[in-house]
Amino acid sequence: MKHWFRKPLQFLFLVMGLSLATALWSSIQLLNSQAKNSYEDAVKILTAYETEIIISKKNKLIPIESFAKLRRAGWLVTPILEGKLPSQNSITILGIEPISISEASSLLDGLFRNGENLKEFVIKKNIGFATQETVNSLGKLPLGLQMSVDESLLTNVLITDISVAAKILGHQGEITRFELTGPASSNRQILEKLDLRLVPSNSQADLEQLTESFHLNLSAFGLLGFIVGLFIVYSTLNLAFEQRKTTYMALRSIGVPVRTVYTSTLIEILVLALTGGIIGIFLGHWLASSLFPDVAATLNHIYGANLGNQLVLSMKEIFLALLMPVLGSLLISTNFILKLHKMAPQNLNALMAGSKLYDNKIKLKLSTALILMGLTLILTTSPVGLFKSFFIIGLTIIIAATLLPIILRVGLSFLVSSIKKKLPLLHWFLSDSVHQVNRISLSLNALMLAVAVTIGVDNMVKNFKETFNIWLEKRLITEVYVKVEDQNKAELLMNGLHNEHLVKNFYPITSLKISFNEQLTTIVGFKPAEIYIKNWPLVKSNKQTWEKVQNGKGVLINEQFFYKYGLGIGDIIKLDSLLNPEKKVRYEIVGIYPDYGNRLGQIMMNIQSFQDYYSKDIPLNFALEIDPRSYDSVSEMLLSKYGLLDVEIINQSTIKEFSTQIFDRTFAITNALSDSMIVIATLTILTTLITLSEIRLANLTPLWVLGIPRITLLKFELAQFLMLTLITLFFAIPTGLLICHFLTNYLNVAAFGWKLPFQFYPMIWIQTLLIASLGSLIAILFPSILMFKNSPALMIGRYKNDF
Amino acid sequence: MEPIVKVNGLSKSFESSGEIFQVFEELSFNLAQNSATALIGESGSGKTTLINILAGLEPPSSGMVMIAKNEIWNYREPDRARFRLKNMAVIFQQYNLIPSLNVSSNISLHSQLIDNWDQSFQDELIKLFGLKNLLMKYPEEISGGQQQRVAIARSVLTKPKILLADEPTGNLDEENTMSVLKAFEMLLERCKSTILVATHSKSVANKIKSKLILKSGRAKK
Repeated sequence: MKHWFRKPLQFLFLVMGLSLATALWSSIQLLNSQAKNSYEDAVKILTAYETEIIISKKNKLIPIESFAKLRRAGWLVTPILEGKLPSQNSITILGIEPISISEASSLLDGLFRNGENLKEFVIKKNIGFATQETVNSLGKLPLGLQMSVDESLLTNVLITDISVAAKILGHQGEITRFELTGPASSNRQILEKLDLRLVPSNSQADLEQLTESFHLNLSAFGLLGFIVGLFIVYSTLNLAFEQRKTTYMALRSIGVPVRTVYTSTLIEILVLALTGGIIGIFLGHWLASSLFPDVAATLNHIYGANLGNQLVLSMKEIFLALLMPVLGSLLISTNFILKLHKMAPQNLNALMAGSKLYDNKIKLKLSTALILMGLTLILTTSPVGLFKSFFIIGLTIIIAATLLPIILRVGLSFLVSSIKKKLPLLHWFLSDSVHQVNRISLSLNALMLAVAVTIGVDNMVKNFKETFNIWLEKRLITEVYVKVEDQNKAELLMNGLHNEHLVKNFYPITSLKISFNEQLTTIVGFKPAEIYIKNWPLVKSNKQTWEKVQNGKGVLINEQFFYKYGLGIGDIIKLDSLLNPEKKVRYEIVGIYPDYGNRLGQIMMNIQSFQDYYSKDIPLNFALEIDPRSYDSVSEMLLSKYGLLDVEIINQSTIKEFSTQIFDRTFAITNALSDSMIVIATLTILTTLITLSEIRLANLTPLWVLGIPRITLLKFELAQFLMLTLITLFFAIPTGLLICHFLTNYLNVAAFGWKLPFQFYPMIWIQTLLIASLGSLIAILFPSILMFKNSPALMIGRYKNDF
Repeated sequence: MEPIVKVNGLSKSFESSGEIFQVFEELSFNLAQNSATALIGESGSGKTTLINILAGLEPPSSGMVMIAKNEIWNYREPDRARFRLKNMAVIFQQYNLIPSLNVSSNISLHSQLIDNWDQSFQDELIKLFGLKNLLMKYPEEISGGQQQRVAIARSVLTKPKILLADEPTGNLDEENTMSVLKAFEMLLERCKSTILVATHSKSVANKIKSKLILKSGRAKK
């Protein structure tokens, strides 16, 4: 321990390295678990919404009498009254009816994790359930409720009995909606009679899609955070060990038992790891808190759920956060102790990697990298699932990290041999760089990985965004979409829209779900008009695609269907006809279209064919081609003349805007994390160089005493680190693109069932490289200048005891 | 003949743990061109410090050091370093070999830097010091004595105007010590160098006619 008192700056940076590694890891863990918990809560509430609900046709409150009428008609429903607290607008009050709601356990799960709460509900009506945070926000509002804290609820949601909620909200005898607690009744007339409509769940898949994408991102960053963190820990501690090996050897030489040396080393390392780890947890919490608004905003935007504003560290998270520095430290100390054990005290010099030893390691590392590359290739030739995709990305990271020092060393060694005697200083510079690679390869790797993943993910996100926008543009081919729930309105529209002068054209769309290969699949009937032929995005097609769709012989399939069943252009599919169950209908696959945000396989066919074999119902969806400037008039006409509700008319620009916003929010956290990772990786370089400065000084002193001015050496030192950093950063580009390739072609396909077209965005690489270069330059400048500022005294210090 | 090294009123003191420690005081001596001088003194008498000051590595507390008519401590550090590079060679007790270069490159580096590299002279020195089999090895792969011989070969190969050697034979056996002295003789004969050798070894000191004795912080010729 005395070593650290003598070298406080080194101690500071060692602890800083350990802390940063822990901070990076723990912040991602914390965000991920918080997001997951919040998401689970949100989904449970949403699941309740998404089951099936009954609302007023006119978007008004529903008289409570309807409850009894519906129940009598065989509808298993429970009433919900929802509204914002008049005196505290940020809090949503949810009034429930405890008896009927208990029929649906899934609904209950969404509201309470603790079933005991329900019993309490039934016994005392004036009880309110909320999280502690919500209770605090409620303060001393005169609600007349006895508050019970339930942390499983969403923040800013107050659950109480429906009669109590009605009093607070001033909606006596009225409710917002009914939620189905069982299967829908066949008695639909009662709905018409009560002016109600059933809203089926249809957007859940999209939501799950987005959340999966979100968590996948965070999990990938978590994995990377762990690897980068381990590198940082390894790099910092390895240098500390290198500096102290003379002390260890001296202790062994004077007869201190090996076990004592090892035990004390391990204890010291654990103390350091825990010190750095605990500081790191605080830093991580701070980092997560600063990123949390993005996560909260993302989830809020996607699910409309309010996540509160506090991150709470659980014991499990603290344990996981400490695991990394402790694991990393134990790994490095075990490695070092093994090295020490193999060495006789008199062979200290051999501990320093000689070129021959290193050559052997190069061969070993190269062989390992080649084997792993072979394994990756084999893995990519067979079908790739989600786990396998992560595994392949992990392998890519390991291969890149193994290859980087080899490439640096071999490349520099080649340069050394080619310029040998002609330029002695350059020869020394390059030779020294080869040796330097050994010492800082882990920090360079941490930087390379951070930059590679940033490039990979940013490239994918940008790629996704552009593809998504183009796709959105092509898919949303008309200005207005109409979606009605009942056949009467649909018939009215079918018959009336022809005559509307504001509507240039309209295209009915109909769909239903069938079972294909025992999997739920959507079939869509549409009118393959010119507008579709011109705009509909296709990833694969042939010359006869549209002709065959028009004559009803060919169908289009989405990418999800294509990847799920491996069926492509020219393949024949046989579908059961629903109108004529005896008949199998044969269709040729003539085109494949991207279908982002959909989990299910989908088949699109001519509406005529759809009506011949699947359903003669009048289509409920219509795409209306209008003059965009006349949207308001068209909307007004649809509302007044056809009795449509606001929610049944969808403006193209609104969908686009909404989709783009969701997209940006979903990836906001990814951008923030990748930036943080680069900052932390450059800080790793800083800590490594500070720790390394004494060794560097000893390496450069011989040059200075020969007569190379210190300022020249400083320039060389800076040039060397910049060169190594720049090579590392350039190496990060192909690595990042490879990661992007696996993300787009494997992970996305496995997770979502679609493949993005791979595109290059050099501006993203340049931007990332510039940020990383600037960070690295600052990280390099500080220790180099510090080292050279103190160098005369330090250099001469070597002789002080020897006058 | 004008002396190549002139030292006048040279003093050096260190501050250690709040105490001033006077290494030597008011040293004055000259070294003639093409001469060899043994710097003798007991341990702690300041031999290494004097070598460092003459080499321009460590500043004196006071006094003047004139080398080849250049008052080196009036120079800025980069100029002093360049002067050292072109005019001097220093053999250190710690050898100061460059860890990233192999023995061959270590030997040739300094002479190549001043564009004074002589292949045949290098071969001669390699043979003299028995380094032929070590040329491709790195400093950490060879023994202390071998490192010392490499350091000496590197310095001699530069054919310096002034060679400052600090305990150059400290780690060497009798045979290698003789080789070192032979190399010094070669320098004196072929390059008209001036050599100052700090040594504890009586046999080495006895082989050198001129002696500079450091005792009680004073110099005596």
